[in-house]
Amino acid sequence: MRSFKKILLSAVCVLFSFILFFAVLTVPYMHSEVNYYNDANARKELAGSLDMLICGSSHGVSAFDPKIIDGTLGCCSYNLSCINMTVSDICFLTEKEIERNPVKTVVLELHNGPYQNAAFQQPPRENRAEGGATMLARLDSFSEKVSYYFKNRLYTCPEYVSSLLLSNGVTFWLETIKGSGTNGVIREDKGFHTSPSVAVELTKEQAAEAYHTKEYDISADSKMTEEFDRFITNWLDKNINVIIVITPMSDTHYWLYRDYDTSFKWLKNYCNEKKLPIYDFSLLKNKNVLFPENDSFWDTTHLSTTGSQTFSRIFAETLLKVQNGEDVSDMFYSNYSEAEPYNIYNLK
Amino acid sequence: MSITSFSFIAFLFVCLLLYYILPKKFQWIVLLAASTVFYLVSSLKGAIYVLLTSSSVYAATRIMQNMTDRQKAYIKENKASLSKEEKNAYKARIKKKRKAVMLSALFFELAFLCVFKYAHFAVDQVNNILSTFNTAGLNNSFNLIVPLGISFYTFQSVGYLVDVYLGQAVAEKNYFKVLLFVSFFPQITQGPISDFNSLSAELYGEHGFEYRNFSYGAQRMLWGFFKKMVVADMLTPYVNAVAEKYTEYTWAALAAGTVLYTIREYADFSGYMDIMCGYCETLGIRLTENFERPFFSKSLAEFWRRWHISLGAWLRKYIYYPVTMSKWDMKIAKKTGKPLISAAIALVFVWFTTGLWHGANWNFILWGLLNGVIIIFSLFAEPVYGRIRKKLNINDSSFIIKLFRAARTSLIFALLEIITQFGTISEGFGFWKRLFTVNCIPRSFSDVLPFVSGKISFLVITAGIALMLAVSVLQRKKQIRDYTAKIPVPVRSVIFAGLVVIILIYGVPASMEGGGFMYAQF
Repeated sequence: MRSFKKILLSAVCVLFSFILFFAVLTVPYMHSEVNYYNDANARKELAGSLDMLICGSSHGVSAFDPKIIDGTLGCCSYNLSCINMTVSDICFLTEKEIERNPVKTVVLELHNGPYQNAAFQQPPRENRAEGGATMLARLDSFSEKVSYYFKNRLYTCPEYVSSLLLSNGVTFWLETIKGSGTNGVIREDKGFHTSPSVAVELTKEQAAEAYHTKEYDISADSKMTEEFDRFITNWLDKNINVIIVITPMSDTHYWLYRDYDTSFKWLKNYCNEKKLPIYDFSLLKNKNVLFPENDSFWDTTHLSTTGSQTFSRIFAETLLKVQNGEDVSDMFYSNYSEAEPYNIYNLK
Repeated sequence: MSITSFSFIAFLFVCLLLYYILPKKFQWIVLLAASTVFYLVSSLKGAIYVLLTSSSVYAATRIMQNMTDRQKAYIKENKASLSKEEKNAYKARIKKKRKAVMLSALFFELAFLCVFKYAHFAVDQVNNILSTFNTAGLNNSFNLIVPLGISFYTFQSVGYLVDVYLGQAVAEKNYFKVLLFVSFFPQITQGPISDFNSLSAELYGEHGFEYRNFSYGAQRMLWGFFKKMVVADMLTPYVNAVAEKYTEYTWAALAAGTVLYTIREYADFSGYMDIMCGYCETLGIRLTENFERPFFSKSLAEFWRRWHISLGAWLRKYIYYPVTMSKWDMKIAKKTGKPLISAAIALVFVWFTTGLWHGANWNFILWGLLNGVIIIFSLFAEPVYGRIRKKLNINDSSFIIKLFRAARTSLIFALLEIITQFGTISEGFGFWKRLFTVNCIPRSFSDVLPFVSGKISFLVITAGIALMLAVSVLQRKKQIRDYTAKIPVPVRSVIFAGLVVIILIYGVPASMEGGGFMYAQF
């Protein structure tokens, strides 16, 4: 009994100390705006004014510039995207903003790919933890965070989630002590965030070796697709326009991966059934001209500062054409097999 | 199941709870069940080889034990009627049969190890020979998945087999207890390699809960996680960079890389030992220690008595002594008039085996033999050194001399270890060549540590290494946990919680990027 009491006392002391450390490091971080995605306050300030929501994962956050979209379409949009958001996270956060905004249009950036969270597959634990940790930082209240933690089963990877939160907390404190700025959220950007361009084009020899050497796991998880369908149906019932977008990726990326048509099959079939417009900007005709390989991406799949400006303009103009009753199907190839001859590595 | 994951810690906790909640007579069954779950989750296909090993060892030891028991009973019964010659002849017959059983089982055990671990290597060597005769080589593309921990549990099983043969251990009657001995999960992947008598007493005994064991064990586990995740795993990208780009770095960077590789290896392996020995301590089970502050050793021979102690003890007992006590070895010593030659021959066997055990690769064999050559040379040179020390009035027990000898020994160890990091001997020699011949004076931090990317990460690693050194120095007098036991509980709790936070911030990301255990590959 005495041993048991000793253990209990020790355990309580250690646990209390740990909670104290955790709170001191993470609570100020969660309330700060040290990263671009610590935007809970920014979104709160805009509550009641947004009529277009854009949400996706890392491809989305680096592609859609609300300033350009608002200027072209005359709307008030916000880019809710963030790295490693799962389909569930995308729907959850979008729904949350719909509840406090007069939303007329929802644009969802989705794609299928290995280790990609915005896909209908269970991501690896590390990616899930990263997405979960950033989501926890974006939610408003403590109760919401706790609910999200358990609902999304982040307790299956607690070491990764705690590690990320604590690391971000340390970064926050170091930035605060250095006085080097804890303002990662730029309100004018309205959630948009990207990086400068990096050359991604392969050499001739690399291209020769790399053609279609990778493939995707193409199965769609049924639980995820059911949850997705519930949200979409709910939004359609509220007369919200739902648009699915696949952002343009580099020709290098498509050169590496085979079976892209198959990997998007579920999503495109779903959109056909629900009569949802789906725009795959990787199938844009003359994509190579509009998005030069070495000046539009910061890696093979993410648009850079330059690429995102072009994309946002083209995206907004496409929506404007659709609003004016124009047929935009001529802008796109119908599938990847049709587009492949125009890949820069085939044209060279 | 990754040992540095939360799910493994949860698994340990559940085992601990069951171990103490259930009646003590079931404790060994809990350990067996846990070991089974651990092995099946980690390596389902490999489990069959654990079963084969344990079954063959069980059968062989039971047969030998039965023969011994029947021999004793027969001699006792017929004490009066048997002459001395008849008794000796009978004993010799039984011994021959027992030897046959032991050798058959030994062959069976080692055959598995050799096939899984050395088949590709052997075929490569045969193909190299065949290619010199322009003959087509053998097919080497077959896929053999090495069962998890095969090197460790095979050696442990062989030790048990030989101990029963020599009459130093009594064969266990319960097969499942033998299975537990072979497959005990805290030691199956990286040791320590224990002898049956000491480990069985711990495993099969009944252990009551003691606060001290639990507290000390948990602290040791925490320390193990810190060493493994914060020091070893954070060093991994640096040492990998040195190995991959050594042709681009200065001698200073290669020297730094050599030292960091050794520190990483020590933190990795001893960290694992701390985690597992610490866990066993919480269960009231004492495992053999595998490290005894090796970097304080004054000679390479002493170093290897303090590093991977259990492997050294196994090799000493089952290779060194049998060789030195064999007739042919003693004959050579007698003929040459130099008993050291007998020791030297045995050491060649020991170090060849050590190299081969570590890896099916000429680098490891060369590494083992080089260690052996240096130790043998030291043996023969010791009288000469003694005379020099006497003439120069060098005080062996002075701090400076001890420090010099420890630094020299650690450096020799590090220089030999580094070649095991490369795939081929020529790469290893290329590293040494560059280390000792590239001539330039380092002028900045980046000349010495060009592979360090983040200053904060490096500061954390440096602090971790300094902490390890401080703990080693303090432990010369008594265990660090005896020191912490004197600290008030609230203060101690803050320290431990702080350590957990550091492990989470720095150790978890480092482990995710490639945190497997180095010795698990053996």
